[in-house]
Amino acid sequence: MTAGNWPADSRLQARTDGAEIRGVPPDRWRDTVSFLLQHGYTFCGLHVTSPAGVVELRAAFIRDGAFHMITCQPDPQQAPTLIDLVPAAAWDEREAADLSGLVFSDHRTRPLITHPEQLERWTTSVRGHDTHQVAVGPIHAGIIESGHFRFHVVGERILHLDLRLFYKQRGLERAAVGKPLEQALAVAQRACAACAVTNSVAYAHACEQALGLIPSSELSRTRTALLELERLYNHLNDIGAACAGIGFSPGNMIFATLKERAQRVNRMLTGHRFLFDTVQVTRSDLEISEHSALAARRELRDIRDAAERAWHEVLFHGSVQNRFDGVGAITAADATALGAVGPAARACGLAHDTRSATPRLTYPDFQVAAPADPSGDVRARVEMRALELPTTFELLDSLLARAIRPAECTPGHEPIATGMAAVESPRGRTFCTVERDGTTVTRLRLRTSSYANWPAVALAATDNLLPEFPLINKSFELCYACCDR
Amino acid sequence: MTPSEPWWIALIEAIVIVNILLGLFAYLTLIERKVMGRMQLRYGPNRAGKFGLLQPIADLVKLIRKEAFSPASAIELPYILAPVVSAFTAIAAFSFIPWGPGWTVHGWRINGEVANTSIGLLAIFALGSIGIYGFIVGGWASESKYSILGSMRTCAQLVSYEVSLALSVLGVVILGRSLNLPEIVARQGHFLPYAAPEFIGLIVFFFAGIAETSRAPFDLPEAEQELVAGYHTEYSGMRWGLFQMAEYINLITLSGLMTTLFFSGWHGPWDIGPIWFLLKTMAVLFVFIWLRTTLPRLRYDQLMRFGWKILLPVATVNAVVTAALVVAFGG
Repeated sequence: MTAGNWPADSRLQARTDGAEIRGVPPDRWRDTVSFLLQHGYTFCGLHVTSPAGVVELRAAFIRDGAFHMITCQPDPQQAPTLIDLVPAAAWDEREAADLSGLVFSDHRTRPLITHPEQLERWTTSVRGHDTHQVAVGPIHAGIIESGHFRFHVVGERILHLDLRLFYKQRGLERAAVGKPLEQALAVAQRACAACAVTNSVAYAHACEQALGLIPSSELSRTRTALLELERLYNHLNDIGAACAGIGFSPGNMIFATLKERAQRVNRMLTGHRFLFDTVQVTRSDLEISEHSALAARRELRDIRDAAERAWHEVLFHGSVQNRFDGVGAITAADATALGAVGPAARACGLAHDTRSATPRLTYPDFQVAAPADPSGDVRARVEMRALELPTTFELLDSLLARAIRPAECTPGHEPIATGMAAVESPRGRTFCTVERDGTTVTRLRLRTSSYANWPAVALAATDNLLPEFPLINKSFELCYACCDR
Repeated sequence: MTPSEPWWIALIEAIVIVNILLGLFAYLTLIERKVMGRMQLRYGPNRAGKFGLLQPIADLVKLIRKEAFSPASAIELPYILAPVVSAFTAIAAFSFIPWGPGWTVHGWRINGEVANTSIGLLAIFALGSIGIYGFIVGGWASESKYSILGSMRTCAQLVSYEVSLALSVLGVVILGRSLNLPEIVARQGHFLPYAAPEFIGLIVFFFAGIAETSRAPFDLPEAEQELVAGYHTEYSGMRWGLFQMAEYINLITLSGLMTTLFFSGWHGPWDIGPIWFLLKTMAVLFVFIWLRTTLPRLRYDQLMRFGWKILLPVATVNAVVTAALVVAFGG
């Protein structure tokens, strides 16, 4: 798209390789978004920032690996809403309203981060014979983060599910403000342990884009290997978790064992099971000897063989397949509207994977995996993980074919004030925006794949039996901490 | 003529059997956790005592010391009585299971069962039916959503499978020509285990029995990952312990009943009486544990379909065919 295609009153603020930022008047905000959507852009995230005390609304979109951000300065009491155009922006707008006091027009904004006592302020009103509510959480039996689920049910069938997450707002994004770019990396990383590498790489890429740097091929190789190591243990864990959801202990235990083995490979290579502190901004300090890389490849081949055997066991088990089939289905249209990403979206037939267009990482000839029957149900979501595992194993085998050495970025394009990055986590696209003043962070926005997918969980639960919800939830296997940023 | 057992021997026997049963229950939990652990590539309990042998005692101490919490909205009397009813009926049902041929020591008769009655089989089913009330009432009296869902499932599942369970033993009753369990065992000793002629009945009994004892893969009333803990979600301490005890003793009783009805009870190649009974019962219990470790839980509609559309017709046909053959060939 060239500048000439944009609505007339949009104003180019900054442009660099792979990113363009435009300012639009508040009354053209919605038209510009419609324009972008019509031209094949996908919504990535929306946030509020207030440079020099003026509230600014920012929405980011992606197409073919290139980002377009639009900004406007709305009337704080009458900000234009995007919910009808982009339902996926609902949580972003509610969060922005809660954190900045912005009031969006045209819809009743329900609180997201604040938790009012009155039930009617945050739940959907459901009436009729025999309807009742079942409340689950926020404290759960397992060692998991806090999250409340309010089920409206008839008998055991779910009519509607209201999610109430965001219990522990840690203020991570606020904590990053004022920190040097390098130091704020720790804040992004700690948003979630299971996606620590993804968050770190997304943050590092955003910083590097803002600084006008591009990773060297060695740096790109190192980060890709780390991302795939993270994907590996997460996918193994997620398949096991789905087996646990139906009380299928053999599947759960085998995949839990494989996950543990994968995490031991992580520790052997990087010193940390969750790969913490392996990513730096503008460089990589990680060093893996040829000997360690070779040992890791050998162990990964063993894990691959075991994972294939275990997956065939799961496939062979008719009872397991019967429990997965047709449960918690969402359509491709709903997944698109809600902005679902990752295996959950691909299970519906949406062939989106950030890895297929990511110039800052090493994914040559990457092919997006697709299930044979993209039914969007639990079976398809679990199958997606199994389908993606061979690619991950192959990538790791080639990425670890030689020693990994410290590496740095090189100057590549014009620096800008705002950098954006999207990285494919095990759960889908994680989007990060970093605004800077010199080498200091002025705004950090991390929209993780879990954040993007939670609304789809609520939809998938509808019209299913209440006891099926844990299985549906595990088939997405999302993170609560990603909301408690 | 064989002298009858005096009441005081029956009383001592009852006390001994109840204690053996409770000990078996305690160590069955350990065996189950050990076997499941090994099948799932882990060790199982191994910290309390050598090989974890003191784990059941540690569990007991923990349960006794734990607060018996009850929800403020619980309906108190039925809430407290429900686990007691379940535990009592479970223990009482075992008293009809014959574990030996009986002996005469110094002229005193010692029976191979605590209670010998001509309707022993019916009595076990009757006590089992009363025990179900404990599970249903406990969940209902908890005034909790998940508990009531567990109770409703208990009610539907146990009523559905009880029909198949009763029909599955009809063939054995026809062949044994008695509802008296020692007589059924004695007849198998002279003939052959009824597992052979009543193989279909055995299969139906096995599946219906798993459902009746709410064991995996038919553990829908509890469904740990789905319903928190089903009907006993709101129970803790020894009240919860009583429910657990009832479930495990029901399982032991069911295994004992299966040994009695289909595997010749205490009979075996060598005359070691109760040891045979114990070995056979333990073998059946192992299969139950094996199954729990191997299969995923069924969905509710799958469970109901299996019960009403497969087990019930098969059990009915089996009973009718057995009756026809007995009439045709004179037993």
